[in-house]
Amino acid sequence: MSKSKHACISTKALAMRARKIKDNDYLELIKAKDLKEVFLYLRDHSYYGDFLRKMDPENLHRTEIEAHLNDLKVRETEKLMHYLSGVEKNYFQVLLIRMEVESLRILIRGIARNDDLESLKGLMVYSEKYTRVPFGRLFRARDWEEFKKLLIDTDYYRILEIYKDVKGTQDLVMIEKNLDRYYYDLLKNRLMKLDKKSNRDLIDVERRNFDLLNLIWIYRGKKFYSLSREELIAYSLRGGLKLNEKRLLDLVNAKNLIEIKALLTNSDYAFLFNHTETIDLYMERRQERYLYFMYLKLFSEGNGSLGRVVAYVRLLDFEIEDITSIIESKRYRMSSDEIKKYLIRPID
Amino acid sequence: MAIENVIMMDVVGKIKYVDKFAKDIFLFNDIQIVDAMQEIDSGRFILPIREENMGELLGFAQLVSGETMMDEKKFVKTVNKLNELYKGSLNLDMVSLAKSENDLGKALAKAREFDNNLVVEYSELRDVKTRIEALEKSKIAYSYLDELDAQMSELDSLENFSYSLGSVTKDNAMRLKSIYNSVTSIVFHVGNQEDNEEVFMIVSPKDLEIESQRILRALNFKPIEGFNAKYTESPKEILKAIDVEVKNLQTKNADLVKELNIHLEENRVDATDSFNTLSLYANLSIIKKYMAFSDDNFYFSGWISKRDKQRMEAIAAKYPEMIIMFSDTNKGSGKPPTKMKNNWLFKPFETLVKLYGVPSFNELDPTPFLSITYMFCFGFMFGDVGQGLFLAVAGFILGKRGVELGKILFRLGICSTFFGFMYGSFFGFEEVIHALWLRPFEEINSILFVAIGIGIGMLFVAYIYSIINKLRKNEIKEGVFGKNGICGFVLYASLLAIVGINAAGFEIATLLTPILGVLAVLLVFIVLIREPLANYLQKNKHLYDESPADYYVESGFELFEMLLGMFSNTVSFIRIGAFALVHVGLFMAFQTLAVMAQNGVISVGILILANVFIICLETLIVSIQALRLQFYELFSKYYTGDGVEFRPVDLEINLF
Repeated sequence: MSKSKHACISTKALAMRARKIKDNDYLELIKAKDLKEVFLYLRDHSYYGDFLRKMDPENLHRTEIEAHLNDLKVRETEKLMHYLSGVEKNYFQVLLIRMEVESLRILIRGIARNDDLESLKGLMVYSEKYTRVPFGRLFRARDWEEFKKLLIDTDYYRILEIYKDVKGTQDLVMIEKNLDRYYYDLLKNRLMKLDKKSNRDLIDVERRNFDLLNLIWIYRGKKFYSLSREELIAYSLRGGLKLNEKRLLDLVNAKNLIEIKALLTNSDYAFLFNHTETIDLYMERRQERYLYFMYLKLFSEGNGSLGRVVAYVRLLDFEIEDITSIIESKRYRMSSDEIKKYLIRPID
Repeated sequence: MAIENVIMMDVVGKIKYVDKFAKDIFLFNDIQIVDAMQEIDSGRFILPIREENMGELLGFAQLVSGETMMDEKKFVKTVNKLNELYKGSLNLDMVSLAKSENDLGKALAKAREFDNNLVVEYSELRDVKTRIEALEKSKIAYSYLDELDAQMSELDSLENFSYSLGSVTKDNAMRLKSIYNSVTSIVFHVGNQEDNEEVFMIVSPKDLEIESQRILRALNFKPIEGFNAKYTESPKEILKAIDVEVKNLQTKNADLVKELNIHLEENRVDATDSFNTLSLYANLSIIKKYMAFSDDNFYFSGWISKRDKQRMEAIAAKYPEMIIMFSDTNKGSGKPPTKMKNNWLFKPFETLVKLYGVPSFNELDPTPFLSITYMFCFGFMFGDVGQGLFLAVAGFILGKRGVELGKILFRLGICSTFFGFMYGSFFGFEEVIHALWLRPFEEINSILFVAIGIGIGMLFVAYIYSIINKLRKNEIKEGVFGKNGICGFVLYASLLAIVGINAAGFEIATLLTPILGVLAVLLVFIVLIREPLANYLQKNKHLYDESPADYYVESGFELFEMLLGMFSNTVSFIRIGAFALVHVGLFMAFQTLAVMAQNGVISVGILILANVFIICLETLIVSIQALRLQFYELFSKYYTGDGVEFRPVDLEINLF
């Protein structure tokens, strides 16, 4: 039943993935001399071309290209949503909310820095069809209070209302953590509403993601922010697959990295910390590459399932992130081999 | 005819009379205002060049459009305010407006005074409302502690501990619970909020308050408002006290509202006056937006019905030095709007005509023809006394409630009833009443032939309409020689005659058939060469508007289409007979089912269901089929429908 239910959308995802950029495209992009060459290659040789055509190659902004790449993601996610209904559509919509949260984050940072919000317009990525956030009016908000008031009809108001100000760095970090937590709680709640049997693989991958995010958070919270155990728990995500509440508390109580490593020795996630010097540098990439393979597997094995469709969007996410990394690397004039190290997709 | 002649009226008057004149226009109402500036710019607003018109003529050079000068918003704002106060019970009184001189200044002053008087009462009312709201908040806050058996004053005066109540989301509540035992405060779960959040009471030592607050903030803890040090008793007693206070305030509130209403009632006359005057001025400002102004004069243009000409002249005569001019539609003053005028019987069918298009000003209004034939076809196809009456009643009720289609349905229902008597059908049963004419199922051939006969009649009328419409537009080519013109008509008639006399076997057939045949061939030929023929007769230089080869290829195909069309359009009308049969057949099927059921209750159930089903299905199908005949078979012959509708001045400004 569920197979035939998703046969159409899953085939569609397959067809859409076939049009996405390939390894040799990656190599071309890595070879490109500068931002402009990357842009021209994407515009003329990739599926992103449609969204880049309006931009002027002589006056490019890194972040704006990224926003335009994400426009493609919005459009494709909306398109795929057409084929879904009920809890599945609800769950899928979270993928759009991710971008909405990111856009809000950019605006809130803008307010903290006293930027002109209108100038950030080009960086906004969200689904006009599904968003309830009045972005058009947010740009004109003069201060934090006004900004908050404009969001009164959205869930975000509840998150932001207790913050009197955003000027302090601590406040800003906490607000961002709060937004993230809101997003992942929403994701978890909608994920758990899906049919458990037919979506087992999808649910597992997503829950592994929660585990990894928690590990990174606890590790960094201890090392860089020296937060209390209670705060670490307060911002941790719930719904992880392998790291239940007790194990999370154990990790939070660990006194140092050696103890953390010891706790993870026999787990699937030991790879995050089994390095000597590059733990911090590649931590995120390792997490994402792990997920990349997970989603790739979900995509190829999930014929006729919702999993394949979600995996498609997640893989697209990683692809855009990789392109973004390549673009960024041009600024630092990194060598090809150096660049490859930072990419999620392994390229040889 | 059912299309009224409209004429363009151009007015030039002294600026000091502009308000009064605009008021006259507003009260006159049946006028479609045109932007005067545009009329002047396009050279249609023409003043005769005479000595006494010099001032007005010179004014053309310094014209300013009213659009830039007028602003109705300030009036609309006050009007809206009054409307809100009286909850929409003020109505624009056209009669008193017409009688009285309306002084704008006085009305504005009155409205302002009125406003000031209300401020005092309003602020008191608002005060009470905010106090009630605050109390409601406190009530919710203390109700979380209603099982606490202690005085609030004791809690407030704790030396080493502080307490706070607040809510967190469900997910954060889970997080809070997992750190219950390590957190530096005592946490009580005291209840749930309406919006699905959980409420906690936190008691923490004052020394560790900062740390506790940090954790709470991390959980997005939102403190609950409404606690107040002035409440010192136990929560239960406090809740009681709040209830009493709320009750008192509500009585006070009711009194204040009453007072306000009395005040409003006392001033109703004044308010109505202001409302009227200000609404009028808002409307006048809108009218004046369409005018053009020079230093001394105003210029106004609009379409009016030809029969209103004298009344307008009488109005203009009241003002000294006012110049009023009328120009006829055929003098090329823009495309005139179409004003349809039909009697009560045909009026609702205008909607159907407009569905296709508004008739052009020089076209015959198809509404009467459409109305009669549409009703006739509907009745013919769906003739039933019971069901027809049902439709008529339903339509009548809908019509009364303002649904335009309801009025159509009412008329259709009546026709259906009429044909019901003809066929002797009552809620499908053929045994109840006697058929005045025939029973369709017993005389299938006659009903089909009659249907075609009716169709032929309708097509004839359509040809006549078409010929009149085309000749009115001076289209010799199509009107005389065209396929829907005189030639086409005669051709159709002679072909029918050939078929008719031969089928009937008249003796004269042998003599007439060859003559009619020759005539038909001749007519076909004329239709083929209609363009060069018309151009030749009108003494045009070019016989063809395009290359002759192209013309003949196109025209040849058109001929083919015309002959085919004559046949298919005629046969198409068989459907009105066929649907009369369908009506009977459909019911017979249900009747058979009812008999097969062999159970009184079920049979009756089936028959009732059958009637509901037939009413819904047939009303839908038959009305669509009848409309299809109109639009496709008839309108395509004679009707273009590319007119513009006449839109008189809006009665009231939009109140929003």
